Amino acid sequence: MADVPNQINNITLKLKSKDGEIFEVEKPVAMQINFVKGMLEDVDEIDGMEIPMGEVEAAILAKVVEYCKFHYQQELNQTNADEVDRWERAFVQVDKSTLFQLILAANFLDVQSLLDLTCKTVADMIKGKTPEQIRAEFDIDNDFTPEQLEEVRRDNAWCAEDR
Amino acid sequence: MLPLGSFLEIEIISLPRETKCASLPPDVWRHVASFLPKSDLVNLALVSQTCRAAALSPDLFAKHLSIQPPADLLSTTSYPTIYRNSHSLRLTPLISKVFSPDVRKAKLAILGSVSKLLIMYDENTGMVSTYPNEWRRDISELISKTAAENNENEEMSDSSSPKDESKPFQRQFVSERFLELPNCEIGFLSDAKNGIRKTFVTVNAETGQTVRTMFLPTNVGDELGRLAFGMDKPRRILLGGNESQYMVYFVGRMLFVIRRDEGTLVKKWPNAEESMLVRGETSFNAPLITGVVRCDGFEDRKQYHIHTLEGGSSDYHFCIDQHDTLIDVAQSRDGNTISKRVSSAKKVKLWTVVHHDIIFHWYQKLPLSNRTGALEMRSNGSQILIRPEGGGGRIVRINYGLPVRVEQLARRVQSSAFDWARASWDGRIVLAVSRSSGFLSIFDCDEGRCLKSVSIGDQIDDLVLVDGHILVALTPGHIVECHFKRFCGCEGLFGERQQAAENDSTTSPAEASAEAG
Repeated sequence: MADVPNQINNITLKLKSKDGEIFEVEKPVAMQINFVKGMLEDVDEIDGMEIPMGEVEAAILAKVVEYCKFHYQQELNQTNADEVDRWERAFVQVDKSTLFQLILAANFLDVQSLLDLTCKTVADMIKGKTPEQIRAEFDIDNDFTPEQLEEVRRDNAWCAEDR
Repeated sequence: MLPLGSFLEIEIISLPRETKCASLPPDVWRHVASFLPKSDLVNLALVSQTCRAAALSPDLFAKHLSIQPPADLLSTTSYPTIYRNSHSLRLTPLISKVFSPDVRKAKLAILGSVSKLLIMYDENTGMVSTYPNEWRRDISELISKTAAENNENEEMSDSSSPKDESKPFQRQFVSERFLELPNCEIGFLSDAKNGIRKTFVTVNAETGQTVRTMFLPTNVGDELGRLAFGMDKPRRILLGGNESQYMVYFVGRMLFVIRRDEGTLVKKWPNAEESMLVRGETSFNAPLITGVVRCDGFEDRKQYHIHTLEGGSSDYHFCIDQHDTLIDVAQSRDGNTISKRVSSAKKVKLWTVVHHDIIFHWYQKLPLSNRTGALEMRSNGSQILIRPEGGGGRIVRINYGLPVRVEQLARRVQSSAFDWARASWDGRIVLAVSRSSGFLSIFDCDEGRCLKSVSIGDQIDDLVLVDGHILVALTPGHIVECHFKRFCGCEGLFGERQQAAENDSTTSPAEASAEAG
């Protein structure tokens, strides 16, 4: 797992996962989660407040927090782009189940850069594959009728043309 | 011989349960597709219905704008059908500026809309008019001067109040006394000319002709220990009952319920407050009142019962802590879902009870101020919208107990303070508007994401949702129609008038009327 530098910040927020685990996170790190940021704008006092993270389970929330910590430190330390790229590639080296749950969490918690990273990873897995291979890779059912499939081929023919 | 167990070891591994990609929401698939080159989009479109929708999203067309869909595809129903089926909520709003009233002459406010007609009031001239079907009437024919005089202490204390009879009423004063009615009618609450009896004048919205004048009961009786006849003034009239068969209004703290067609008194509720009203679902712009909640009181808990305007009493009752305050209550059209908002120590709690005979209970403690606005229920209670009223509030949508912060999502698009919002299209979308910047965002209620954001190009003075899918805004110099269901075959508000207006865009309604006169 990629290393995450230590934080120096006294203000911590309590993020509560779906399964009840509490993550104490420094406020500047948590503020990268727009869902949290928006909530904090509505309240006067945050001391002791447990912020529910919706359907995000502890294992996934831990990854989200790890990502936010890295990027907070990366901004502080002006980490070079190659190092960030290496770290991010290591970060998304997870099984598909975790990757999809990370996507859902990033989408719900509104962490745009994490959503971009995870969706791009899925896109890279799709590139160069046939429809059958994509279905097999991601365990997707073919819900087209043969007629619909033909219709899609016909409609998309223009897209494949070299214009 | 090999020792037992050294030759064959079997380990049973429980594999992690895979999350199917198909369970990813369509907007995530669209995001994935945005990272794919054109050639891979074709393959993605052939994987499944969801992937097809992602691959054909308008965002990607915009990204690969050099590859426009060919004309023959556009000319058939194929592409619009794909578009409609896959992205029925991602329709590009059609913005039309239809004519240019001279704002130096007109100070227009939208009172409401009835049957695709805009009902407007010009604060400078004191004229009520409609558009496109233009008739004009002097507001003093509909709301007597006496009403303003009697209410001046309550509502018109500033220097601009129309104590001088030559000055027309202020827009706020008129809008509080205006009511949209079914059957293409509108109504105005007023004093009778003698200043004692209260009247409700009903006007045909298409012709502008008075349909009838109804005298309203206002006698609060002896319950308040005084002769109140003619002393308290009706204020803020609203539709009531599940079928809009009633009208409700306050006289002092007394809530009167009358039959809309006959004006006969049905019920009086003493000590009724705004927070005691039960809001129902309505297709009108104005709220619909379906009942009242009455507090019976306990020692340490306040117990409330819901009573319908029809006279029945709901089985459902609820309690709140003695130190908490009830903000508002909303009920779904089928009566099975009830939501209540309670303020408690800077927090707002929202409870929702679905099918209260079966007892299913949601509870949300929202970190919101109670200034947020009105609680509004949509789609038979599946969605509850707390929308801003008068500015400064946040838009919160609760979908089956899960709060979705609409405004938060909007920040991805543009940092705008939304101060107006309406749910539309059977609660499937929320329209949010920042009037100061003229910025409109459309949110998908099912997926909680921003579908489209457009700028009207100027600040918005007033706006109204017409026919559930046309947003009409007044800007300095224009009436703007934002028609966001154009792909669904719906007619616009102005239709062929738009072309005529474009040809003669300098004609203001005032000038048009003067010419007609």
